[in-house]
Amino acid sequence: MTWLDLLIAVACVAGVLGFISVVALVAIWTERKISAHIHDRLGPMETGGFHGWAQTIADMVKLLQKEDIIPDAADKPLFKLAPYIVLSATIASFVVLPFGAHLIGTDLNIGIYYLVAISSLEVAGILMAGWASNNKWALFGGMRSASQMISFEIPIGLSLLIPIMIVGSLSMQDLVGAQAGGFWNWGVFSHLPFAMIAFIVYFWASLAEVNRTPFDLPEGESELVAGFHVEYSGMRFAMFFLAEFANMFLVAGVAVALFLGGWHAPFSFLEISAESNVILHNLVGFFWFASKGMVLLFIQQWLRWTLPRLRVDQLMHVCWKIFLPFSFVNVLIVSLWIVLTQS
Amino acid sequence: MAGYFKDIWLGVSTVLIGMHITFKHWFKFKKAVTIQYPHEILEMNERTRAHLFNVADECAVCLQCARACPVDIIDMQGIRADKDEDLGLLPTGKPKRMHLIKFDIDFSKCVYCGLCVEVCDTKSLHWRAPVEPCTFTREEMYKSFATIPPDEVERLIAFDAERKVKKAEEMAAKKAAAAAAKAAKAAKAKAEAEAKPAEAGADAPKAAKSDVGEEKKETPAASDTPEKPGTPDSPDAPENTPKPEPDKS
Amino acid sequence: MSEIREIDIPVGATPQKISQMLENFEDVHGERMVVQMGPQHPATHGVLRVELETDGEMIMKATPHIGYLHRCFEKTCESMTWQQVVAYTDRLDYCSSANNNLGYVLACEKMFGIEVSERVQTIRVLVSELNRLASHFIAIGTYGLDIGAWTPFLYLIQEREHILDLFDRLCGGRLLLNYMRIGGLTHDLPDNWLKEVHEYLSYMEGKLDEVNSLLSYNKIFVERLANVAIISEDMCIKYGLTGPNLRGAGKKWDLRKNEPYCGYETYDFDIPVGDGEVGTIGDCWDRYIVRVKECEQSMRIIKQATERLEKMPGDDVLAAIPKSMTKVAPGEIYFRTEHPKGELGFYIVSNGKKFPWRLKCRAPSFSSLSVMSAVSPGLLIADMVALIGSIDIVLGEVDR
Ligand code: SF4
Ligand code: SF4
Repeated sequence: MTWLDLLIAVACVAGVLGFISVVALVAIWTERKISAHIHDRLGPMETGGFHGWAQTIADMVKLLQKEDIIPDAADKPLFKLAPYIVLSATIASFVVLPFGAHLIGTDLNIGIYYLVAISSLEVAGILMAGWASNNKWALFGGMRSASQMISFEIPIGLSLLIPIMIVGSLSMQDLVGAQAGGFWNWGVFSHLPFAMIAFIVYFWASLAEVNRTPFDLPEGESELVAGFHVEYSGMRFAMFFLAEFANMFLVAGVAVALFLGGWHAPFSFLEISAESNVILHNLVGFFWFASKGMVLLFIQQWLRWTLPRLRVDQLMHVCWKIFLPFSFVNVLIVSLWIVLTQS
Repeated sequence: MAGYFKDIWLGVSTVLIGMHITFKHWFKFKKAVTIQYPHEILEMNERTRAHLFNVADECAVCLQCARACPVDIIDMQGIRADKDEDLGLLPTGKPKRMHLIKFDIDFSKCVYCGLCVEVCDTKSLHWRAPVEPCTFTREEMYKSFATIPPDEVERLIAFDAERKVKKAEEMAAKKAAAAAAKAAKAAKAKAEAEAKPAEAGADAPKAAKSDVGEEKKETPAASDTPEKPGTPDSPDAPENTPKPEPDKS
Repeated sequence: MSEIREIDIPVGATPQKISQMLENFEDVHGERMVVQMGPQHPATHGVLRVELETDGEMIMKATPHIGYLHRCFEKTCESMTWQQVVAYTDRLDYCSSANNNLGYVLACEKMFGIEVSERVQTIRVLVSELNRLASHFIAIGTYGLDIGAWTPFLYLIQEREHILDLFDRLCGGRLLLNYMRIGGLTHDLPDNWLKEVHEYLSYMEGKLDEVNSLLSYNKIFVERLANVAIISEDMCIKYGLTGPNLRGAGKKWDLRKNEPYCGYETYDFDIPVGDGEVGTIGDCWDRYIVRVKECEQSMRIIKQATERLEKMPGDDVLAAIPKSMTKVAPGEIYFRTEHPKGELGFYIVSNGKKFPWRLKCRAPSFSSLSVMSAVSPGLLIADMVALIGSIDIVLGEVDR
């Protein structure tokens, strides 16, 4: 490994970290604004001048200054470790997200597989947080989170299989590359309506994966107070918060990459070809990727401010009795389709 | 099976209906229902119970408000003006006869019930509407509405004490005279003597309490005054003052 | 070590049945966890502490602990003059102070034989129905909040705000009105006030439908509430549950109809009852929907009352207030009114003096809370939240 390699690696990590922070800041701000406008109010208006855009930054600064409180009876090493695990799992998953033709941490040939595997590491962190807090509500939250995330991995995995089967590759760039040339080529419109169903199942199941309403049981405010992070304060809390919002973008990013054409524009004339200008090509790709991701983020937030929360048993019912059969049948039909059309 | 699909359909459709409603609010957003507080401040209504205010010049020091208060937080004290002192007229048209030397309200205890305002005939005690009655210390919650400067208050108290002493002397003299008269009477008619003696004796202690003094002492006269809120045409305040009138004696 | 046994819980089994079934497994020694829900828990509607004994997330036993908000209402009233007590009744159930005022002043008026004019009565009906509306909005909204839906809560708070503004114009108070007096009211109606009420009613048209489609009939919401924490009519009567809770169990009982006061018999309105539309009669959803439907009925009453008041010539609302209440008639009385939370009763003893000799308040929320330990075994923690919300307690009234 040369110095240059190391430098590039550091730059990559710094870029991902910076991007995550920016995404989380923007997502938190939009969350506030969207909820406010849905409720006919304005939300933060003061900090930073234009519609309180700097509110989240101010909050983060505040959280940084706060005292780091660790409960006396907590399991201290685990308690301290948990937020790092959650955040690092999130950051690690971002590495394979294709922001542009060349804007990707590393294009692993098992990219999507790696992503699914790494992002489920997060469960360990949440379980740790719930357990180590030595608080019964936190424990409930951690347990709920673990059972929910592990269950929903299955429909998620099955619905991700569909684009993988269609394209025949696990590499993120291959998956995105197969959707070039206009929105009718996007993954979600191939093999209608089965890829569409897969997309919908994935989107809903991913809500459970990132603990969003209607599947926000691990932190259900009115039941578990704040769930697994009830004992956390200051920067450790901020890490959970950051990870939550970064995760929201992550699942949206996966959906974009696999189903919504990745960094391709809806119409090919809106892109700049790589031959004419590589940098611009990447930047425009990044623009499309980020804006599609943001749209999905908006939908997640919109849902959150519309729906009530499910109960634990109903959550499992939704997972095992609705999402699972649908995605199974889906996989069967699509694989049959592929086998029949290819032979 | 049909039930299963019906449930899914219901789930999907009601979620969509809900999303439609929130979407309408989101984008048909005309005007926020909230206000941007320090920039716009709501106007208070005429009757809003926000903050008490007493105009010292208009207060008759009738103690009605202090008595009506359920939490006993109006701390007031008045001193009767000298006979020929002119304190102006009250809003009710009667002359003001009392100096208001103390009128403190402890707003940290006020329950904003409005009973005090309702009983105030002169309307000197009324609601004002500052939107921010907040303070940084508890002491600041203790608001004083008396306008007489401290040295003047001291002078009044001294004057009152002097007057009290004078009155007491006068009373004592009167009492002595009465006693003498009684003695004379008693000497005259021994048989009737038992019926009278209480009278003069009962007057003396009453007269000693010549100033209105500490709020809310239940003097015997007090229980007869209409002290209830919403008494539309109770007699004018100064006349309710439950205290013997040494001046007239 | 614990062993795993299979328990067949039939579909639609009542919590009682489930807890009975679980009783049979007493020999299986799992560890039970004691969880303190409250006093600072977002779903307990105030400072209620519920001691939960749970097996996993299933509640085995729930014991409510109350008294965090105790402020000696009944004893304090014994040293308050008759009229001063009104200000204290405000604070019983602070969401519906006008209804508390009404209960107390009607009891006193009946005991002392004070007659008030028809106009005063109509204004009282109007104000207390408006307050019922406000109280139900809070109940419905916070219930949505308990179940996890934020938005309906803020929409309903918004509608309630208009009512509070009306109150502010009327008597200066928004939450704690202190508007009624024994024998009358503190203020007459302000100019244009009735018109504003009319405007409010037309503004409210369709708003409840919006709430219904956003919340009441949302599949997730229905699933969360249907067949949960069923309180049968029989149980309601045993535990003294009244008001919307009793009507949710299917009993048509409303003091405004059954024992009319204040001229309620002359108004045209219906009593909505729970009918098990999505589940079993008497489940959380029935209790909830009764409140929504009652809002519509309240609006009907408000409309009629406003129309009557517009036709009525003005009179002095202070006219019948006794000039002095230092000497009153001795006597005792129990008088009950239909409060948004249920049946609000005042038992008052007067010995003819300045202060009430004894005052006892039968608070509806207190009785409603008592049913909790009976229905909660077999519920999940999330259902517990649904149960507390559905009986709509206000801790100011429970603790007094
Ligand atoms: S508003 Fe009520 S509590 Fe406050 S000073 Fe007046 S009477 Fe006393
Ligand atoms: S009731 Fe009014 S006039 Fe009488 S003492 Fe109080 S403020 Fe003064």
